[in-house]
Amino acid sequence: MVEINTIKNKLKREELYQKQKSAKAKEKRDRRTALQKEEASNPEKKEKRLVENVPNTLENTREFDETIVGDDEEVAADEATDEFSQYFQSGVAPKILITTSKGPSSAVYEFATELVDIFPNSHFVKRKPQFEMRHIVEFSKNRDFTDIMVINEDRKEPNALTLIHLPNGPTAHFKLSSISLSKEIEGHGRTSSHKPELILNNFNTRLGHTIGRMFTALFPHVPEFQGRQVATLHNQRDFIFFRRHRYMFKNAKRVNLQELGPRFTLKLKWLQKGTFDRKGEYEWMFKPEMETSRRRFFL
Amino acid sequence: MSSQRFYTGDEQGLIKVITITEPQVVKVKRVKRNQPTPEAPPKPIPTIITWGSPDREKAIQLLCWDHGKKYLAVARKNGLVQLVDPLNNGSSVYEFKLPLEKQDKVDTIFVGLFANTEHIITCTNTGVLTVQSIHNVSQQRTFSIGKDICRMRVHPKEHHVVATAGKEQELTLWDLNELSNDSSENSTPASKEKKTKQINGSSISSGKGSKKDAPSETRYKSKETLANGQLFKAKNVKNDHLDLRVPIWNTDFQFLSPINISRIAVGTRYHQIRVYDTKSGARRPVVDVEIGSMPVVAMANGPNANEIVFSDTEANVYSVNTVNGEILGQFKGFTGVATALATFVPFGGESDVSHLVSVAMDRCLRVHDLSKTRKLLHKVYLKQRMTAVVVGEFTPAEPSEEEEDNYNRSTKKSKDIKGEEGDEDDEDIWESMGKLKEKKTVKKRKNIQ
Repeated sequence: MVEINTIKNKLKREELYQKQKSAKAKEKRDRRTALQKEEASNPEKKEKRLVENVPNTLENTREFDETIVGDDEEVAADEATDEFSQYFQSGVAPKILITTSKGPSSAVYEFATELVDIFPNSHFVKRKPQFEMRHIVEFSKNRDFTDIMVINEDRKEPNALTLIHLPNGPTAHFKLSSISLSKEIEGHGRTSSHKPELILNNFNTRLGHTIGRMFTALFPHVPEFQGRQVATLHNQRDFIFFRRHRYMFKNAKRVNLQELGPRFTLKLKWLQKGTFDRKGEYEWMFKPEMETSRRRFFL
Repeated sequence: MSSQRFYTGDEQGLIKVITITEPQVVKVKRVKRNQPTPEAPPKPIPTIITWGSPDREKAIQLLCWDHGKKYLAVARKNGLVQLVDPLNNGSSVYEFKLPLEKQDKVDTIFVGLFANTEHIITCTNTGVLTVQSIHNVSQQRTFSIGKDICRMRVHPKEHHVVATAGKEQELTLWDLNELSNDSSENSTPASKEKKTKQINGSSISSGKGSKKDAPSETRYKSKETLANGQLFKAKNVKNDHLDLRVPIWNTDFQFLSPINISRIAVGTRYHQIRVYDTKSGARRPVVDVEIGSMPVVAMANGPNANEIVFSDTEANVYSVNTVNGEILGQFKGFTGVATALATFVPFGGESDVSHLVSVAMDRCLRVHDLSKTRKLLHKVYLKQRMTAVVVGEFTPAEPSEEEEDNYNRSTKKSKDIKGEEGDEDDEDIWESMGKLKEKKTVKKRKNIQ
């Protein structure tokens, strides 16, 4: 066969190239139709092919992490008595205080309104400049709050979320990005005041478990299924995506999803033992030097 | 296969015994170009043995060896202090309980623990120093040494000298024998004299250098500022450039050198590292530097008296020169705050390098090289938030049969070679030397007779 790029005549070269290209396409088309025909007669073969065909992604080729939680009695015992045992064991209902950084802008207020809508039994409190975080923690403890959420802003945009579990911590700090409010989502549904169901995805390591339990403790124990509302926290490559949907039964087999909003993305920056203290002990802290590979994840 | 042992304590009250077995170092022969490269030596596999059952009320706060490294002293959250036998699966040999009650909504915790063959010395953050006799349960002396103590350590050589430091509490050295005079005693007054005598006796027997220290003691006493039982009390540094008082909050300290222990390095919550010299007569620090921006959590001695290692709350671990206060380097690999540090000489002390072992809130034990590379040598995931670590015993490698054979062969070979080549020359030399010596000795003997 002639090497096409050695032909000096441009017209000839073009002609041959087009021929070769169409031949290749035909071969592929033939291969696929043959496969389709074969699989139509033999559906097991198709299933087998689909199961075997798993593309490599960053997630499924992630670096080995020894802290991934399996069936481990010791870790189970540790989790059974951790700071969230009040919610999981004693069944204390969550009560959340949502506030902002000092001198908030209108975008932060709008986002706070959305958060109040998401979490049942949450209360927005306007931040007064004379109170520091440690004061607010004390006040909230006295008023039986179980969690505090503080929205931070930069250049009039919400940019961080601090989550404090009461009364004994821990405190987690997330970077907040890609916010779309409900009204910005096309075809969004109207929310109802039902307690939502919760879906947590891919919180696998010991650190991920702690974060997952922290989020779980924000929602009431028993959802109201007639509301058909679902809040999803999906972890992918250490980014936690929040979405909220309502599912609608079309018929006995088909279900449609209607997005309610808002959407936002969280990324864990640090986790601290105890309630918020700038000089407190950090249980985990993200440092740029930890990014040794694109396949290394912490949650 | 030599192995090094570590004992750790965690928030669930478990003691874990970690044995890191070093694989045999095999000298790799030179590889020819086309041959495949030899496999890398297998990574050391740590084995973990757990003692106790999980109970947060029994969370371990401090661990230390007793003086003979026979038993392990454990201080727990619920006030229980135990001596644990490492050879017998961590069964408790001796224990006593101190009532730890909340004071002003703050938990009372242990800030110091020490054990020798006679006593266990503990200290809480409320400033209750307890000296408990091991042989007699009823013999317990308690002293009140001020509130908000952050660390208590006992002089490594003279066990009657105790140092404390804390929030608005300057570094202070106490003499337990002197303190006994004004202490509030728990046990019956009848046994009072006996106790003090015993303690005096024991302290002299255990502390070799107590006589040496006597002149310096008298000198300190001449100063009026020292209260009863105090040997040394540091003085706050001078006011800052705005002429404001510098706040005091010492979080940890270490006696620097095991030979001449007059220098003490102190770390503070305001990220200062200070070095005090108790024998120089100066009460202010000799070295005072600010490092980083976060409070000091734990400190450990470096490979020599000129180096100290400390960790801060943001998961940094630094090595600092105690002579000029320079940062020598940083240890990498921490994702959570290192709660306890310890340095040791690997391979049972037969090495010229030292290693740093640390446990952290990120549930890992790490071993770093303390030399210039500061490399992470081992990392062991321990499933719990760790609070304490001590270095255990070292088991040297038993030479395997193959090695012995090799050794024998090589020595034989060398002997054979020598025998063949250098026999005659050697003999000549030896003969000449031998004659000279004989003559001399004979002469001398004759003279004496």
